[in-house]
Amino acid sequence: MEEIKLSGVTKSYGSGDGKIVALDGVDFNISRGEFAVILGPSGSGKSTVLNILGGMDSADGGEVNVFGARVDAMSARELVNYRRNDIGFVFQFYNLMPNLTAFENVALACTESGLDVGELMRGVGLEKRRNNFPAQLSGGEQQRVAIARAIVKKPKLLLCDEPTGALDSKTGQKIIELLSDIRSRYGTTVVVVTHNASLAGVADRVIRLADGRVTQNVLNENVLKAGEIEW
Amino acid sequence: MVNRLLAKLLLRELKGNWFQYLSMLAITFLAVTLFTGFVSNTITLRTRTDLYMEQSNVASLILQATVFEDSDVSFLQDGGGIDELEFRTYADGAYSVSGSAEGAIESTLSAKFYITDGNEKINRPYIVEGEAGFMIDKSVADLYGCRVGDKVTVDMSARASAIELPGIPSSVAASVLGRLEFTVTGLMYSIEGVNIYDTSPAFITYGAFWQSLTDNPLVKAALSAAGIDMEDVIELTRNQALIRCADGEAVRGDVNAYFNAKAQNNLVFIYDRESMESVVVLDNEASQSLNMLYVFPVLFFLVAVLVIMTTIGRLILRERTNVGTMKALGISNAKIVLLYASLGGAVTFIGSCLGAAVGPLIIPSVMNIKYGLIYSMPMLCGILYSPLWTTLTIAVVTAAALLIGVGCSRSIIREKPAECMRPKQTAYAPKRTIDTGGTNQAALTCRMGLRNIAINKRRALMTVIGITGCTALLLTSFGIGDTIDASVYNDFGGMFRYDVLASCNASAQSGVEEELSALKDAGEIQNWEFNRIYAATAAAEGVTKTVAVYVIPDDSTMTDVLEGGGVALSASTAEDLGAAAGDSITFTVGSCSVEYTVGRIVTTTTRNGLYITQSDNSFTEDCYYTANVWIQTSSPEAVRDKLMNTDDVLAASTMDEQLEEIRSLASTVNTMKYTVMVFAIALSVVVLYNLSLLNVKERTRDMATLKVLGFTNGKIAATLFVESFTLTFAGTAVGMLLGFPLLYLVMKLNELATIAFIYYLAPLSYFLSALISLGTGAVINVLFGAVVSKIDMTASLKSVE
Repeated sequence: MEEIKLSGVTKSYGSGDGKIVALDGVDFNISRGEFAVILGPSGSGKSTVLNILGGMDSADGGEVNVFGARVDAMSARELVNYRRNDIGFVFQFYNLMPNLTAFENVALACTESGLDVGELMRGVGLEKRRNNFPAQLSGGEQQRVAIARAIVKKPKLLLCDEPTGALDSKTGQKIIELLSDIRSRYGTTVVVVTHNASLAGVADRVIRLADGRVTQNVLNENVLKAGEIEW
Repeated sequence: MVNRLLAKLLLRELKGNWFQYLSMLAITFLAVTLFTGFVSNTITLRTRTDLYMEQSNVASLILQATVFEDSDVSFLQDGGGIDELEFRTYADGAYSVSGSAEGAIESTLSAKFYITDGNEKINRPYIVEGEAGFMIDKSVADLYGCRVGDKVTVDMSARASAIELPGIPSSVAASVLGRLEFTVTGLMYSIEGVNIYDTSPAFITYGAFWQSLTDNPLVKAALSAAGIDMEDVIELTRNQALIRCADGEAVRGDVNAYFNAKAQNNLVFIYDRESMESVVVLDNEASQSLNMLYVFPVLFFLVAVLVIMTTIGRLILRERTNVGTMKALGISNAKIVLLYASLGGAVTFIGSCLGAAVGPLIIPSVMNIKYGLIYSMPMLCGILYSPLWTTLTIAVVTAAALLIGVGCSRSIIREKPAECMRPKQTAYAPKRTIDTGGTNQAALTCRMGLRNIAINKRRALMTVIGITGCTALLLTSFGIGDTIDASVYNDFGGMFRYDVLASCNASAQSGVEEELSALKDAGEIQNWEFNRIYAATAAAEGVTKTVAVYVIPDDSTMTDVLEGGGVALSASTAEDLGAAAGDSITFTVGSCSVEYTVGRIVTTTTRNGLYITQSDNSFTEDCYYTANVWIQTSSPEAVRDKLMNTDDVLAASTMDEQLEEIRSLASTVNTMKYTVMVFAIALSVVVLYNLSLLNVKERTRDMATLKVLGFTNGKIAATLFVESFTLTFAGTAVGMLLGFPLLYLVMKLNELATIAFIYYLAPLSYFLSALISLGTGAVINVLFGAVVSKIDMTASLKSVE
């Protein structure tokens, strides 16, 4: 079965006395179609893992396999294609293009084999806000646009970096609900990085990181719905 | 303590992000360079002119008589109000030089001879080398490779009738005066010969003149027989009186009254210091230099203000979080504002100081090349700075930058600390959106670029104005050449159709005609025409001006200037006199005044004045005039050489030589051409650098997001390119429209007295200007496109958090 597999991944920043080890031999695997949550305190290396998985950053050592592709061995051009076709990113602060409307932001990431943008806008509940600019949308709405933008290309892997970090609990719950829904609807593998331990309730797999190492990698036997978790 | 820390913060910001302030520094530098440069040039030129005039002791009045009688001399010596008085003999003519310096050019030059006692007090020459005797203009000597000790042959036969030598018949006198031999004893500058391309001055002492006269044994014998000595020659030939006085008008009134009361008025004309061509020309030049202050620097200062506004505005936006933190720490708003305003102030202060140091070195030097080509005058002072103007410029520019900084920081200061510490999203929510159609990546990329212009209007304005200025300046620099070519072609390619131009004195006309007939019989020339030239005083409403009057044969085939007959006035002269077709103007030559009604205005470049046909010529024959001969031939150089070898012809030149001379004269303005071009490109580089830098810095996060979305570097760079190219294109288009008005303004400010330009911009110049403007934009875009590949996605996207 194809999966995401990290083996002995290391990453450090700086050199000499100022060297900071972000990842110190990280090993884990995530199965296709899983909703995985990577938990850890600030500085544990969870965002670094996400960046390496998404081809935004490179590992110093180890192997990064994503559904049979060696991401750590890809060239710069291959990484561009990988990000364009296989990966969807959702950021804490949305990172929408301020001078494109909600619809245009989603269309920007659309590929030929992607989803219908209009339908997707309806799917994320923003049909009526499609012509609004990011500055005219609430935080939750902006994050919905960002999620729509991330999945419009039908990525194999959806990577979310603190997707609820800038939202209130109610809106955050709705975003998690949307992500679960996307996973169910499109069979997309979803990896959410967060320091909010309550999100572990909705995950199929929970990976805990501390000081650049995996301290726990378990399957959740009692998966909750987004509305059921205590924020 | 806080102040010290804030100062440290300021210095570290400048040190750490110096490249962000480069455009601010560069534009301030350019603007101040131009401004202080032109100020310095104006002061230097004015001082140089004033010193020269003071050294020359310029006459308040110059009186020209046929010959001053003893009674005239007594009247002037006893006359009230005259502080200084000097008599001399004036004669026009020509001298042939055959210089001994390397690369010397043999030539015959039109000249004005001032024969004096060698101890001039008024309008005294500035001797550079040698001593009084026979002194020629230093610039002319340099031009033709003439040195002290070289022999010259002088022809002042035109004044033979004025220089009457008892015992010698006038025909013999003309022959003697037409071939006087001198040795150059000195090189000098004369205030009466400032314009290099005008008739060249030469100072001869009476002693040298007497010596040259009596070198001819026949003349010596004749003078001796008549009992004429040198003193007698002085008395018999003095025809100019130079007067220094406090009240020129009063003295002029007295002089006019005296000569008018005489039975035979021997006064030809009287003119004052303000009418002296050199004084007028130098005054005009100083005024033109001052006017340049209002043309170029203004544009650069305008762009500088916009560059400072956008740079500081962006800095404040970037520093939002720090501003919030400082506020939270209790640092006063005033200190925070001062900190960021000081950044702009510090950078512009450095730029201004550099500009103030470089400007006076560059601009006056460039302008001096122009002055050196046009004017023959000593360098009586070095380049002068004005400490007051320099300090004021630096102070005003720095203060303006501080004020702009305060204005830019005001909005952020109003926000609460917590608001400042939250990331600010670009609030783009227009009522009408720019839609480029389609939702493919190319269309969306295009849309992003265009909407970015709508978001950053100030920045867009800065870029458009900068590129507009650049294009207009480029057009101006190209237009200088186009205008000169068009002006030259108007006269020598259309209006006048001769191959060789020869000039002679009226007395020599018959001799020249004989020569030409012989040449025609030999089949060397096809045709010729004589036309007379008078130097007339034209009096229109409230304006009096010396104007050339050209008398053209009625059936002329060599010019269209009087096509259909009638009386024509050149456009430039009409402008000077404020005259239009249908106006009646009185022209005076000597004591002969004639009123002409202007039939039409004609456009000429170099031959400005009044044109009349021979049948309309009412000037009496005894008025002084020279004759031009227009010759049509298939071998211009050969005919020119043959004519030059005759005694009757003063000067002869081919059409090509005249074309070249005019081009060379007009191209003195060309010295500015390349300077203007350099500043134009610098202006465009500065604004495009600033635009691109601000774009890259502000949109790093957007570009990193696009990278994450799988956009290639090229496609990301295209989003920058769309905005930059659109603005460059807009600026280029506006610049194309403003190019001609700017060219007109610049050329008008640099108009030469002898040339009336025909303003023209060739299509090729439009093409080249657009190409350079757009090309500069493309180069900057390519350079900044490379920056996109260096954007670190993880670092850029993490920054806000």
